[in-house]
Amino acid sequence: MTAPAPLATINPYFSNQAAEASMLQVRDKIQEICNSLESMRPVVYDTLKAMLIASLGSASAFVTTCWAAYEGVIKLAPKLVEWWNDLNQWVWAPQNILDLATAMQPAYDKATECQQALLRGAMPADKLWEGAAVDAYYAHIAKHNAASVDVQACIKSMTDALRDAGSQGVIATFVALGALIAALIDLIVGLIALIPPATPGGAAIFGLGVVAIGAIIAGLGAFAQSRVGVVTAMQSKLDGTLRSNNFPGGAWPKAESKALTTAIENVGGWNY
Amino acid sequence: MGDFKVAYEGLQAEQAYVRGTGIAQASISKAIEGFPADVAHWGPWGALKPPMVAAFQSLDATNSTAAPGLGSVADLLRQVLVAYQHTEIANTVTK
Repeated sequence: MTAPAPLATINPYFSNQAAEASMLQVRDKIQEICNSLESMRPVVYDTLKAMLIASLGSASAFVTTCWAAYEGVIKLAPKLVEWWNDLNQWVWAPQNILDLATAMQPAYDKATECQQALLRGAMPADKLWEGAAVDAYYAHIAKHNAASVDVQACIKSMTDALRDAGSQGVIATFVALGALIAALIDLIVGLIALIPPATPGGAAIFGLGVVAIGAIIAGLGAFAQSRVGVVTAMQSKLDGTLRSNNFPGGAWPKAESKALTTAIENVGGWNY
Repeated sequence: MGDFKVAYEGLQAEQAYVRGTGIAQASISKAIEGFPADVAHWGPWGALKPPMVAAFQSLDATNSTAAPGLGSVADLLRQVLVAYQHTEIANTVTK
């Protein structure tokens, strides 16, 4: 019988490393939209100028409105790239949390192995040592086994909470990304409609797309906040377990030299 | 002498086994050290980080004491082994 081997440091595998390229492609597309807005500027300006001349100045208010709308969109555009860069930073967080849950499995397996290693039948002395002293000894070991059982349960509840928060987060993120793509389509539709005389309408569509992106991100934040309770409940339960009688002073039980020596002295009639 | 040898070797094996199990149990803490921090960018999910970090720290604080905890049992077994040796020597001298 040999003791369980120590567990080596776990390096979690984060699956986003392979998937980030697709997000960067979308970011590039957004950059293209922004570039298009800039390159369209002279066309819009020339068209508006032509409209003003053709109307002999009577369309001045309309042309001013179109120009203001277009300039407004131009100012919004860099913000889109900035948002997408931010999004690309954290959009993988739920998947990372899920990956952490997967990475926790060896820790749970090791905790199970250690717990089983601290059962009397699995321990070397059980086969070689007999009498009341060994019973007293294994009664003491039972405290260590109880602590090990608790740690195993804590790791399980941590893994479950990570998996729960991660998987729900991934689903919410996928739904949000779907909505973001729809908002991007709005932006493209708005972009097409920015050519005068539809400029104000196009700017409105573009603006709605931008507002939708902001709302989707805010919605994700609210959803994440709603998951906090589950994780906090797990943490609170874990704290309670790790401060129970199985962990005197919040630490693993320690053998009291005097108590066991006395027990053995009593059993064996020794005196030192 | 035979019974003594068996008990002595049993306790010796037990001592190494208990100490090793304590080291293995404590190694779990080291293996998962800094796990939530490995998620680099949280964004809106940042609200989940504090309770997660607190849970990992709490587990680490307690579980990392498994090595000294079970080590104390191994130390005690060593004391018992010494006592066994003394008894055996005393018995041999008496005979």
